[in-house]
Amino acid sequence: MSGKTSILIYDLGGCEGCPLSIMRSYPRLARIYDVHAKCIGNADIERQYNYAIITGPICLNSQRHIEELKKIRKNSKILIAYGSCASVGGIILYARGGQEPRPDHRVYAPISKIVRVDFSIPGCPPAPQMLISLLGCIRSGRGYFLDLFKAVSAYSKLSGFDLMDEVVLTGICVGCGACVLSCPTNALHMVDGRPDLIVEKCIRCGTCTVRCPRFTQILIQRYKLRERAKMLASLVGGE
Amino acid sequence: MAFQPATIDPSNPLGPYIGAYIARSTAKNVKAGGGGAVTAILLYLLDKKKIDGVVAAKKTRGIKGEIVLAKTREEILMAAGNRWSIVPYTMRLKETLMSTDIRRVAFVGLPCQAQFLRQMKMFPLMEGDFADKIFVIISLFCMGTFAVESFTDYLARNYNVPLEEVENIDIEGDYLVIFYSGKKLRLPIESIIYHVQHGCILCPDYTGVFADISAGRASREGYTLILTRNRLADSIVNNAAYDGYLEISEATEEEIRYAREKALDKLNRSLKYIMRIL
Amino acid sequence: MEATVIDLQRVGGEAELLAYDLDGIVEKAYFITTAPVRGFERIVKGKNPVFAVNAVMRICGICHAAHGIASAEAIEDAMGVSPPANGRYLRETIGLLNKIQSHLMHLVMIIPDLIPEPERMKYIVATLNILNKINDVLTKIGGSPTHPPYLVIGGVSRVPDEKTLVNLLEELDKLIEEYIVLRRSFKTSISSSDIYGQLRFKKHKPKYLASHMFYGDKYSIRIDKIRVVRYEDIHEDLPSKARENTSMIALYDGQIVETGPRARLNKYYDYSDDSLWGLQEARLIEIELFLKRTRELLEKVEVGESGHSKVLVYRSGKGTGVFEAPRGTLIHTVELDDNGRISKYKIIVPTMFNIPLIEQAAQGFPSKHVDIVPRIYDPCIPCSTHIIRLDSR
Repeated sequence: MSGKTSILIYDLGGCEGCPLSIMRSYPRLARIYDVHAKCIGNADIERQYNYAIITGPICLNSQRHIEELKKIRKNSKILIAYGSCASVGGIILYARGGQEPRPDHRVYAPISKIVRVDFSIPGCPPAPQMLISLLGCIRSGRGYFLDLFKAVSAYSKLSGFDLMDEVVLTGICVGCGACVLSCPTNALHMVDGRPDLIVEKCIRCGTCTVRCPRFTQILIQRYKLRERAKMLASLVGGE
Repeated sequence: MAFQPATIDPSNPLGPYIGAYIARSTAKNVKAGGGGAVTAILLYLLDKKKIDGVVAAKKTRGIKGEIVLAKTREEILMAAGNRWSIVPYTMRLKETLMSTDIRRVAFVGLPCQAQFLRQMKMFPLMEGDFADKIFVIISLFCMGTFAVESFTDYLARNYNVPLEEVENIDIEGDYLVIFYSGKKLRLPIESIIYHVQHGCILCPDYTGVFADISAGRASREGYTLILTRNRLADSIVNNAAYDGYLEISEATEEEIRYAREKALDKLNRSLKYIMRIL
Repeated sequence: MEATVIDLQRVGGEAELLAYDLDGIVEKAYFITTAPVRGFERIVKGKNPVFAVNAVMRICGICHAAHGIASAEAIEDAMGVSPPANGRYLRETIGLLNKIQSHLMHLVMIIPDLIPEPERMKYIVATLNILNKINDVLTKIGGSPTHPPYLVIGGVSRVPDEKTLVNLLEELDKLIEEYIVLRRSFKTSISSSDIYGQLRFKKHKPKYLASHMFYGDKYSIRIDKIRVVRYEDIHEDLPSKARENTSMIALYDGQIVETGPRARLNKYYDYSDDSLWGLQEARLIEIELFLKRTRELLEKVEVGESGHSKVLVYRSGKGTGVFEAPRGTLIHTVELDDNGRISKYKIIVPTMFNIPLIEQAAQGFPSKHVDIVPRIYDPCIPCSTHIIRLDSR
């Protein structure tokens, strides 16, 4: 093939909204990258890729999908969990199984529960130009937002509920309004200068949490602590 | 590719910038906080049709305000002035930006809002984002914002200063000066620290490292310190000066050190408190 | 007979086709969906109806609005509220734009079969161009091009202002012209294609199911005649590979029926074409019709009037919502308990009707190109894999 960087876009049982959103910027993407995706008809998980972009949640009861995911991890240098379901679980965390014809499909999780994820991007779905921007940033090095997306990969859930618990109820919200403009279902509204969650509208996409200036700070700091703890543990011979 | 600061770290509390200027507006009627330089830049952008409007906070009552989309010179002048409270972005703003034929907008906000806008512009996580409408992000220096009710009540209770009559608030050395009904009230800063929002105490960003242009009080009275963080921002400031809206000169070492110290203060305060809530 | 498993690409979702070949011709085919079952009907159980609308929209990233509308209709039916005129117009508009989105995306996926390089990329870019403009229109009316948040119980939560409407009408006029040009040149470009010839040649005459040309009408079909069965129930001697299937099958009046663009045009528009190509042709015609209808609807919108009923009634009740999704008749039924929470939710999606037809149509098709058959039917797998069995009688 050409000397272009290769990327794989692969859906593991999501709603297809994320891959289709990426496809809308396909002409631009194809100019820079060698794109492989089911929507184009050339997805092949057996070959090597520079980047793998995974959309959709992982069904913990489906051996087939778990094996596919592990294979993609092995065959790709950088793995990106793209969209809310893949990165933080999203709406599908509510799944409780029991549905015909496969009642055995009970538990869904973000893909970071199964494999190591390099970057996690919430959004339901992220806008088409997001991926191009992200890949460009990864290539050009580190930055605050990249640190943030890396930190998100350590989480198995992030939602409006977490925003309320960690920022609003603890009193560290300054009331900038970033979350209100980041909610895809308009589940957040300002009440007396503070955001309030309309709980029945929150679909757990996590967009508000990564847009909140305070929460991002907490996420990144916690991630650093976690990495340090891991390093210490490895020094003393633990896991 | 837009720039992206790695982190806000103690070795560089002002964040990356390519130009630092001391500036003030050339027009007499523009008298905002410091030298009115931000207002002058906005007027320049609007007059030259580089933007269709400005999103900024407009004072409504005392230190309270609301977010407006200013589309004329008059509206911009109305929105000028120091802000001591944060005015939240709301759904209404989004609708205004979405539904009209506004194509490019300058945003004036605080560092936290600049971070949000930068993230939206670089990484649009939502399809409904107005990323392509953000032309330039201007952040005002911010040491923290007041919890509005708490602070105004404190003033009314202890000093008999009614909310409606607060005209302006300023800092002079270690004192906060409140201008109301033609009078001045000087309060030591330590005495009002309890009325600053907790979230602001955790915030590490004084200048707004995510903005294109950061602006705020300079050490020289009546002037604004401007930091430009990319080429677009730098050309805007220089062109505004060239066209006579702005009077600029390179900031001296000392003036930069002045801002740097304040930024470092805020950063250290943040590092001290963030560990308590992790 | 030799069996091959074809991993289907360029369809909406994960699926395989198990095809038995005899001398280069498909003898028997099984359409196997492999996407895991997320179980949205179970997810919404016990929840507030407001959550249900936002949740079921996320069943599918292709026909999001269709699910949102069917769900809102069903819940309104159960609550006893109905949207005002503006709400109905805007809701239909959102639904139509969603159908156009879906048809255009399908066109992008089918172009590689019909048009060789280097022209291929030109058509993909042109189609995506129109799609992106449609998305802008939907953003202005629905709030977002995917999972539009302005779709709420009781109508549409925001009505665009005068200026926006005028701009949209101009935009739509341009889009209609742009689309007609694309369609014309597309049809000339494919006429020499091999696959086009095969699709034209292969005739297949199923029964049709449709409830409305543009919106959906629960009174024009008999919902009690629909039966949902397991995949195993319609096949005898199912090969073990095909038992992994994750979707259900729907029958109307005990029969296999086709639903979707051709069924709609056949019933409400003077159109009949029994070839496999007839399906794609129907989609191309529909895009134009829908664009024109969208224009018509937007002219009716009264600026300043509310778009939704502004009332939610939490009470017990049953309701049905029928909407013509891009791929055909979509049915949501809901039961609310005494607190107005959802106690039962059932969804029947068009692909459940169409799966047996895909298998029938594949029979007798040249094995080499048989992957085009499911593609031309445009199955939507995310939708079809989340559905519960209805009580079979």
